[in-house]
Amino acid sequence: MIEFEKFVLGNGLTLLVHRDENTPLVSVNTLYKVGARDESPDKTGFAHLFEHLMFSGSKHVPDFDTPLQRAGGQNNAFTNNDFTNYYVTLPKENLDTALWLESDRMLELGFSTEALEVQRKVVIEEFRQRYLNQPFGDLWLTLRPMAYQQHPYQWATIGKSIAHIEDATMDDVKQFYNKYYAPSNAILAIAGNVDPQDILERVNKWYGAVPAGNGLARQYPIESFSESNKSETLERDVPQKALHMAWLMSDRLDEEYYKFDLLSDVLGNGKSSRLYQKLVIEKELFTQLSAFITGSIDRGLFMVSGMLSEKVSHDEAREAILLEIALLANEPPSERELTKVKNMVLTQKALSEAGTLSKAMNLSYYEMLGDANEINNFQNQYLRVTAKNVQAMAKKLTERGINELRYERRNG
Amino acid sequence: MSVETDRSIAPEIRRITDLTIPTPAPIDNLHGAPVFVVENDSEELVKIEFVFPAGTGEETKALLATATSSMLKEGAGEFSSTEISEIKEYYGAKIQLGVGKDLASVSLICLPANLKNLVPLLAKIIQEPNFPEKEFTGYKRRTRARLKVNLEKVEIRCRLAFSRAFFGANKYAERYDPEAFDQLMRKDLVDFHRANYALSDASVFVSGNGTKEALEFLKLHVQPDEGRVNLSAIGDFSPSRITQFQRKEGALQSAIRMGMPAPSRQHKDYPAFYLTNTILGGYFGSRLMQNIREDKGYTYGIGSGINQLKDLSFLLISTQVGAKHTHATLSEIRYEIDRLRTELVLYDELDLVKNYTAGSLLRSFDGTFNQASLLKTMHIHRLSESYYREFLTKIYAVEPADILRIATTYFDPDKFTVAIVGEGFSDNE
Repeated sequence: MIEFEKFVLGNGLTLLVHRDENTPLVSVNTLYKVGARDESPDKTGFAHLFEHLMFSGSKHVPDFDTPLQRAGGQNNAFTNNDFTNYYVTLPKENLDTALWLESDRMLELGFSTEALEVQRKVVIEEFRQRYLNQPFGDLWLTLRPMAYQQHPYQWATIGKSIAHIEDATMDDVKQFYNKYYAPSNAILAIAGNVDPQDILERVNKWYGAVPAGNGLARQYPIESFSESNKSETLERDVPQKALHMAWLMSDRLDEEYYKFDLLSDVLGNGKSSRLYQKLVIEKELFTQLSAFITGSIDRGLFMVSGMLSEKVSHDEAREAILLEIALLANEPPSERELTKVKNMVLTQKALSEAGTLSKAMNLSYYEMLGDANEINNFQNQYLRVTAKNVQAMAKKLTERGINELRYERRNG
Repeated sequence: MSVETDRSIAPEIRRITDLTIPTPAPIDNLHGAPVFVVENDSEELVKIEFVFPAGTGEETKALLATATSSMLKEGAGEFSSTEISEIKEYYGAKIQLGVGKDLASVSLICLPANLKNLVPLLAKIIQEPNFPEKEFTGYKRRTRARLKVNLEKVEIRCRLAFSRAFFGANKYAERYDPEAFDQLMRKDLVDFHRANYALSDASVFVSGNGTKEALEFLKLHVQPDEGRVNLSAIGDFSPSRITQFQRKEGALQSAIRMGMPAPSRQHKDYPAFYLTNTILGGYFGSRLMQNIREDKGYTYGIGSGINQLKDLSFLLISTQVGAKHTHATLSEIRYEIDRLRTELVLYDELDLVKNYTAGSLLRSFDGTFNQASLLKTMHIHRLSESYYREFLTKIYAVEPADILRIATTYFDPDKFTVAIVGEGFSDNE
C-alpha cells in the first residue's frame, strides 16, 4: 500500500507526496501531459526534441544539470506518445535545489538558439543509433503508419523522419512551451522521508508564482476498428527473418485493457506461455516469440513478435500463430494458466514499486490516467478477469484486421 | 503563496557526510557457502542469490559459461524444462541467471509465501541440472540465431574487436564465435558445472521479507556437495596498441571503444583515479559528454567507466557517433585527455564531482536489494566494513594536484587500446 497526500495549487499544479522513512533520498517526478500524439503530422518528433531543450537552461539557471549534480543529484527524462516525464533523485537535504530547478524551467525556458542547434544534432544521432543503425531498428517507423490511419499514434516518438527534426524552428519551440508546459498541465510527485505539509509549503514557495497558463481542450481522433488485413515486407540486411503482427485493441481506461493484457501473457509472456512452448520449443518454427500490448492511453496495439527459424516461411509462421489464437477463441485458458498470469502481474507490481523514484513515477502516471489511488487498486482489475473474458478477447482478435510486418533477408 | 521568492540565488547546498551501510559479515553458512542477509519486512518480496566463480573467465571453450548457466533451467532433478518454467511462472517468481567475467549467479525472487514451492526447485537447478540433449539442441538453435543478429550490430562487433585487442589471449578475452558454439557438447557443460558450481566457492545473499524462512528452506533442500575441481589463472596480458578498425558497409554510425588498465579498488590511487574518470566521462556533466554531445552534437551519448574484475581493472571509454564525425571524435577524446594531463582542474568542477559521487554512493546503498548487492561486491572484492566510509573521506580530500598527477601517471593517450567499427574513418565533416 502506497500512502500519499494530494494537493492542488492555486495555479492548477497537482502535487502528490509519499512519505518513506527508510531512505536518505528524495525523488521529484514531474509529468507533463503532452506527448507525440499532440504533434501536428508535418512536425513530428517535436515533443521529444523539446524534452532535450528542457535541460539547456531556464530563466534564472543557465544549465539544469550542473547545480543538480553539485547537489549530489541525478536526473533524466523520457517522452512517449502520451506524456513527457522528468525525474530527479537526490539526497533529501538538497530537495530545494531540485524544486528550484524544476520550478524555474516551468516558469520560463531559456530558448537558446545554440542549444537548439546542438540538441537537433544529438537527436539526429539518437535517431540513427536507435532506429536506423540497428538490425530491425525501423520496425515501429513502419508498423505505426500501417496500424493507425486516423490517430497520431501513426508516428513514433522520435518522429517520422530526420527531416522533421532538421526543420524545427525556435518559433515552434516557444509555441509548444507556452501551450503545454504550464502548471495546470503538470503533475508533481515527491517521495522520500518528507513531511507532506512541509513539502506543500516548499512547493508553494517555488511554484506558487508560476502562471497557470491557458486551459487545454484536446480531442484526439478515435482510431476505428477494421476487418481488413494489411501486410508489408521489408527487405533488409538482417541475418534472420522476422514477423510482427499487430491488432488494434482497447484504450487504457477500458476494462478490456486488463483482459487483453492477460491474454497477451497467456499467449506469449514467458517460457511456459503457449506460443513459446508450442512454436519455439515443440515445432521449432521460431527462435524467439512473444506477445505483449503497447499500453498507450488511446487505443493501443496487441502485438505478437517473433524471429523465424531458418527455412520457415512467413506464411507458415503466421498460420501457426493464428491457430494458437483460434484455439483460445474456441476454449478458455485453464484456471492454472489464469492464476499463473495473475501471479506474474502481482510480482511485477511489487518489483516496479521498489525505491522512491518508481513510487513517484507511478503516482504521477496513475494521476494522469485520472486517479493516483489506482496505484493501490489496479491489481484488482486484473484479479477480476475470468477465463471466459480472456477467451472473448481472443475471439475479438480473430474478427479484427491484422497489420503484419515481415522482415525478409536481402540476400536469401 | 509568496511571490517575492528570489530566484536569482541558488539554494544552499549541503554536503553528504554520513552513509548507512549494511555490515558485510556472513550470518550463517550453507555447507561451506557463507550466507549474507539483509532483512526488511516492509518489502513484499524475498530474494535469494547464489554466486559462483563460474564466469566466462573460467571457460575452456567459447561460450561454455553462458551455455552452462542458461541450461540450468532446462531440466534439473525430477523437473523437466517445461515444468521448471511453468512452476516458476505459476508462483509469479523470477529465476535470474547471470554470467559475468568472474562470476555466475542464480537468483530467485518471489513472495515469501511461495518459498516452500520454489526453494526445492532452486536447489535442483543449482545442484542437479540434467543438461538434457534435446533441450540443449533447441537452446543452441535459438542462441545461434541471436548471435548472428548481434554480430550485425556495430556496438557488439566493436566490443569484440576491443576485447581481442585489449585482453589478447588471457582469460578475460571474450569468445563470441558461432562456430565454436556449435562445437559445444553436453559433456562440456556437465564438466563445467562440476568444476565451477561448488558450494565451497559459493556465496549466498538473502534479502527482503522472509529471509529467516528462506534460510530454513535452503538448509532443508540444498545438499552438501563434493567441492570444486580446479581454477584457471588470468594468463598472459599484453594489450595491443594498434588501432583495430573494422569496416561495416553502410553503417550510419561508428562505434568506438578505448581502454587502458586501471588501479584496483584497494590501490592507494583509486579514489583520485575514480574522480579523474568521473571528470573525464563518468557522468552527464563530464568533459567528454559536454564537449562531444552537448557542444558538438556528434553523438547521443559518450561515457567512460571503470571495470573492476577480480584479477584486473580497466578504464573504458565508449560511444557511437555519426559516421562523418569518427575522426573528429577521436581528436576530441585525445584533446580532453591531454587537458587533464596539462591543466589543473578548478575547485568548482572538482567539488561538483565530489558531491555528485557522494550522491551516487547514497543511491547505490538505497533499498534492500541494492544493499544485498553491495554486500556482494564488498565480499567478492574483499573490501573491509569501513571501505566505503573511508572511500568517501578520501574522495573529499582529493586536490587538483592529485588529479593532475593521476592523469599524467595513468592517462597516456598512446597507451590506450582502440577499436572502431563503422563505414569509414575519414577527416571529412
